[in-house]
Amino acid sequence: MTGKHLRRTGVVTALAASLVSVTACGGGGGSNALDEDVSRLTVMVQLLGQAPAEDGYVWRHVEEFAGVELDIDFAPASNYRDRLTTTIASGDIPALLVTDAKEPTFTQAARAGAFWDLTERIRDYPNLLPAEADLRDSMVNGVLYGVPQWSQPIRGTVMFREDWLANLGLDVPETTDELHEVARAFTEDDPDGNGQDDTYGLIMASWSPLEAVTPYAQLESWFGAPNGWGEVDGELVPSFTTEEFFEANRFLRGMVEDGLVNPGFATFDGLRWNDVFVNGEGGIIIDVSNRPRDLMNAFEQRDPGHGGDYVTATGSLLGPDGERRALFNHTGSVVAISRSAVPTEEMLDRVLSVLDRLASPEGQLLTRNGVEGETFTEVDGYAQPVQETNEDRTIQSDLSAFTLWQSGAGEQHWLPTRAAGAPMRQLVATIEAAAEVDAEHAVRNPAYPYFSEVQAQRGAQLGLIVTDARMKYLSGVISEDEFRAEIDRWFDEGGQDIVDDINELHGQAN
Amino acid sequence: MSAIAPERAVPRERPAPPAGGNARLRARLWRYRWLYVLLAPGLIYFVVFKYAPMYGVTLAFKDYVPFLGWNESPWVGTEHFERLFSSPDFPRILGNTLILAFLHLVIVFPAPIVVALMLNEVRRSLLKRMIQTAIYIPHFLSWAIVASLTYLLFALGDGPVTLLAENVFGGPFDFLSDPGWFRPMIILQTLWKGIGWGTIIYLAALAGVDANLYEAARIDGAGRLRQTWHITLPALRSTIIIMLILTSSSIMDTGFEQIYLMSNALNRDVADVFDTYVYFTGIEGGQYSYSTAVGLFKGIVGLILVFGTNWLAKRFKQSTLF
Repeated sequence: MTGKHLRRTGVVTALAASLVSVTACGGGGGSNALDEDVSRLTVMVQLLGQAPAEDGYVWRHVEEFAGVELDIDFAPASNYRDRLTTTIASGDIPALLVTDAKEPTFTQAARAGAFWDLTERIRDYPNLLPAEADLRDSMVNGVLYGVPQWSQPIRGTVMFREDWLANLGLDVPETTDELHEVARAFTEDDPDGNGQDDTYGLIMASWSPLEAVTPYAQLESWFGAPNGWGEVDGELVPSFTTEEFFEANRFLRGMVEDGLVNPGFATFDGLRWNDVFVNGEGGIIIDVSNRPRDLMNAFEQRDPGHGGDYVTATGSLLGPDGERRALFNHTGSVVAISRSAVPTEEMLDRVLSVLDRLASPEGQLLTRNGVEGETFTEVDGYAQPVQETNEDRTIQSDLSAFTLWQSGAGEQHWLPTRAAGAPMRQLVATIEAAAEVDAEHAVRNPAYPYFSEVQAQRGAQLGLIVTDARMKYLSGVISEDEFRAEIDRWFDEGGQDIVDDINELHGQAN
Repeated sequence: MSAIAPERAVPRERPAPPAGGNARLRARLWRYRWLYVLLAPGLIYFVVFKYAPMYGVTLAFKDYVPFLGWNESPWVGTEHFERLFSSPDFPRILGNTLILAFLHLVIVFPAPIVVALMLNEVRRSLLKRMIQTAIYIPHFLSWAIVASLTYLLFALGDGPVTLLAENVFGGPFDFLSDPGWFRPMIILQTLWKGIGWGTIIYLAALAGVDANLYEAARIDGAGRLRQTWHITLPALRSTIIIMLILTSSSIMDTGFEQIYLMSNALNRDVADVFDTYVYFTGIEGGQYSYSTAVGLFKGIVGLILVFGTNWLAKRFKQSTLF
């Protein structure tokens, strides 16, 4: 009885149990250690779709190009974090491990010496070296524990029902005031022309963690709130202490009060976002750049041949002061090199040259797009994938799995995929043009390069104080004074320690 | 298990003085060797899968760093427990957990007994079996499905139940995010999902009640309620006590999935329980030691409850677990 009960005391004890067995089997050289010539490379990376076949077209070509045999462990992204912990705990770590540089388990292990410090060495490999600001993002308080990965710098996108705009004779909004007006018209002026009051403007979801590209953070950034952290008089402060943050939320609360936002937004599951947009319940979504494409595909299924008539998109909106600001999308993901599998500096250099080769312009093209003429053809700077046989489709899906462990943080030398159909290409072009403008007005998070122990320990739980209070404020459950009191509570219950810690790290870095 | 046969046999062959204890033990072991062989798989199962993993609780007294491993991670004594007890979240989480546990005990626990008694009164066995099958079904649905159904039915604005409630009682109903509705919703879900399944054990106990007792009571002029009170309920009493002791062990397990799926920004003040806290601090924050400490604390409270309930049952001269 006792044993049974204690074992059921939670996920963690069960995890602990599995760790015992793992540590028991692990240790020693292990199967992931490389030979001295680095003729084989062991990799662990997350996987979103289907795992590629080991003797498949892409795998063979990449091996041939890299000049090493690849032994890749594709781990499902859904429990990658668990896999990371068990792998690191086992001691038998693959030569290359893809991870967020500030994942606590990884950072602890890296500090204990499990992974190579690449801070200086990275400069010898031009293909692997990103811009200085991106490099700092991938570091943990000034130390680089892995080769930085490329990430899309701007992801924020606002999407609208194009047919509703046309019905009402409205243009795509450019400012937050115009957004309010369009949302009002979508709610009150019967945009679908069915004579019923059955629509609302903006569809918001409950998904709202701090320091992510959420609809809430985007709206706040348009009003001038910083990206996660901002610099005020030389001190770093969380965005939710700024007046712009409150101004943005006052604006959004006003929209909620006027009935321009879906009523159950505080519990609305982001997975249903597309459904209510396509069903014609709401007409505006603030999210990221891949959603408009999904929406267009959904409309195309409903109304074949006219999918392009329903969706349009834009990037950031101008704030009340007429300024443009867009959230910079930080990822800080790195390809870490383990010291247990790669024990000597000579081997490390060999591994880095393999990565450098894969990150070269030819390497990027091969791993992202494949072979010109065989897997894609170039059309106007885009890659038109060859998708004639089932084998072709397997190749395309294999390519998408391979991109996830790509480094190549410097310049982008691969071709984006050419969308099918003119309306989709038009949409993609609109989004890309908006992203290009936004990139010039990107707001970075100045605290991103820092890893605060206090924040790692308490940040998630404390963050709920702020995000919950924001939701309550927007829903009209609490007043602005009570909202500010909750922010004070964040400081009292440990937030002040986080602020102090981040500022100490900031002081050391400068 | 080992007590079944030997106990009766031993007294008859106890001529040897206590001095020969060792030899006697060996003789006994040999004599009942096949019984011990039968016992072995069960014992091994418990040692390997239930007792050995308990070594894992040492994690709660260490500062576990996965890379350093089990043995290398430094000992920190009761630091994690001090942090838990001094945490501003602690009173709220303990309160929420206890309130939910109490509601489970007074509402969810007796519900299957009531339903079993009612089913017992159904005369037509076909109808009875149909009802039984129908109320078992929700047990086989996962919490994810139960939660999605709830979200659909009780959604603000367009949920059918919400609309019905608003039309009947007037005024807006915010079942999903109003903190006041959180506990009723959790209890409602638990009842819906578990009530049918819970009746099985009581119905089995009821099937064993001697029909002659009812007949005798009827001859004495007892009505339906009298029969239930004086025959059915006493017949169920020992089952109820055992079930109560078993339930008290898991009472602190408020069900991570259910709570996690039903909590949101607006009701988290009443929804946060130990299970979700362990998830947010431990798994999200990578603090395995701290969350193990929280889990261990919860386990100890559960253990105290089991022994406490068992002790109470003994005091009242009821059948007990051990």
